[in-house]
Amino acid sequence: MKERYDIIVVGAGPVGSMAAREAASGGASVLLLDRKTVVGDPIRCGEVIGEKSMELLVPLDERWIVNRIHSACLISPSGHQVFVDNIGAGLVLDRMKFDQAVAGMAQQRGVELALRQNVTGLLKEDGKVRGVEIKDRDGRRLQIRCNLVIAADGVDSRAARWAGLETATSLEDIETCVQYMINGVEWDPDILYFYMGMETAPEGYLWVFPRGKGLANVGIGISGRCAKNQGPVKYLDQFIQRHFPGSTVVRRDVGGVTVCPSLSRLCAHGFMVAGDAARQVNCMNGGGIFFGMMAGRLAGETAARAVQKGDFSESALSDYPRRWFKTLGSDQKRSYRLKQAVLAVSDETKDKIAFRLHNRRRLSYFSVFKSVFGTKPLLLLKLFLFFR
Amino acid sequence: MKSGRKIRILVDKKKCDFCGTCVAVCEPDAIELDEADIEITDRCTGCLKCKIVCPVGAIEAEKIEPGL
Repeated sequence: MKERYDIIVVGAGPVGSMAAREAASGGASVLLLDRKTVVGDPIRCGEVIGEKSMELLVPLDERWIVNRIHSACLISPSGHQVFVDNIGAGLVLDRMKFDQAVAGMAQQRGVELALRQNVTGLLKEDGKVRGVEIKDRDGRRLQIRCNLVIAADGVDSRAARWAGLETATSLEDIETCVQYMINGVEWDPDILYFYMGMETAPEGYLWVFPRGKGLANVGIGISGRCAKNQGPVKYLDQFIQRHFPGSTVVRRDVGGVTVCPSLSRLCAHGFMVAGDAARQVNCMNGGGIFFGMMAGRLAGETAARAVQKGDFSESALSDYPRRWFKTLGSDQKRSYRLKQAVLAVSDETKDKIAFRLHNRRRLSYFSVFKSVFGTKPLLLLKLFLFFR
Repeated sequence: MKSGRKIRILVDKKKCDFCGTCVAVCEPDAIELDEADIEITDRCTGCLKCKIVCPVGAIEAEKIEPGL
């Protein structure tokens, strides 16, 4: 690694790699750091994303597509199944291969990737971010200077706090999650299953995402608030004992997913934040890949322009938050309001609605949620805007 | 941690998956995380949010006796 770069990106997940790739496009020198030994390992993700969403991010590649899905099933607290099949195709991913592919795209544009580098602080002068402090895996401490730091350091991000931006996330704004990849699953591999209910997955949901060939990701997220009573592992184990008694666990993934609006400030002088670190996550389904990578692209484009102009002030970087809040940011905010509204619907009401819908065919997510918010015009409008 | 602290946070590093969910809820920024290591620093205020939110129950808390 050199002593100095134009741009340092912290975090070589898909968001950081996307930001780095865009930032390097005008010839800027870009260093992409990760504390991991292997990009994308371990994974902390349900590994599902809409095909249309992915096409907006990177060209599809069968090497990291494990399965394609064309329907969803929402299961109410008492077990009524509502099939939603008027949906676009969904992709089940191999996140490790995907993350490595996106990091490879950044490297193809000239980004330097350095692993096993843990960023332990920011270098600051007069409140302006000027570089990073690193502790590498051998315990060596070093400093690397730059004009701009892009923090894509994940749900456990500290860089934004060091830059003076972030406050910690509250217990009701985060889902604590556990997932097993199991085999011995004979369910329809063309359907994504979502279980709801205070007894099954309080203030969250439990998912079964088939990977094909008898494998599935079975996981759960419950709110930090509800975890006071019981953690996610017990809920998940109960479910698996009941529905997949003969299965074996081949992989376990754990992590936290925020379900709150994104940070309101995304920049400081010489600093930007994107992805889970910026809380740019879909609050309805916990999906972070789409919002995160789109934001990463915006941040990277803004960064490349800043290098060309030689201006790294907060106002010079403000294109990024402006573009985010105008488009995806307002979708993301809306996903939060819808999530809050769904939380307020009792299990009993969810059961009643599911019972009404369970024989219907050709349902879309929109029409299901329309049933939920039938008597609330403001929520219906938000819903329409969210799904448009 | 602040003087007069009453709680010590203990992380079972064999159970811990280093996922960082605890870090996300830590208001005083008292948790340092690496790929396979974790440390609770002096900034801890004993709020116990980390223990509540840990997906795998790797965090315990013990009362600190005054004078120790």
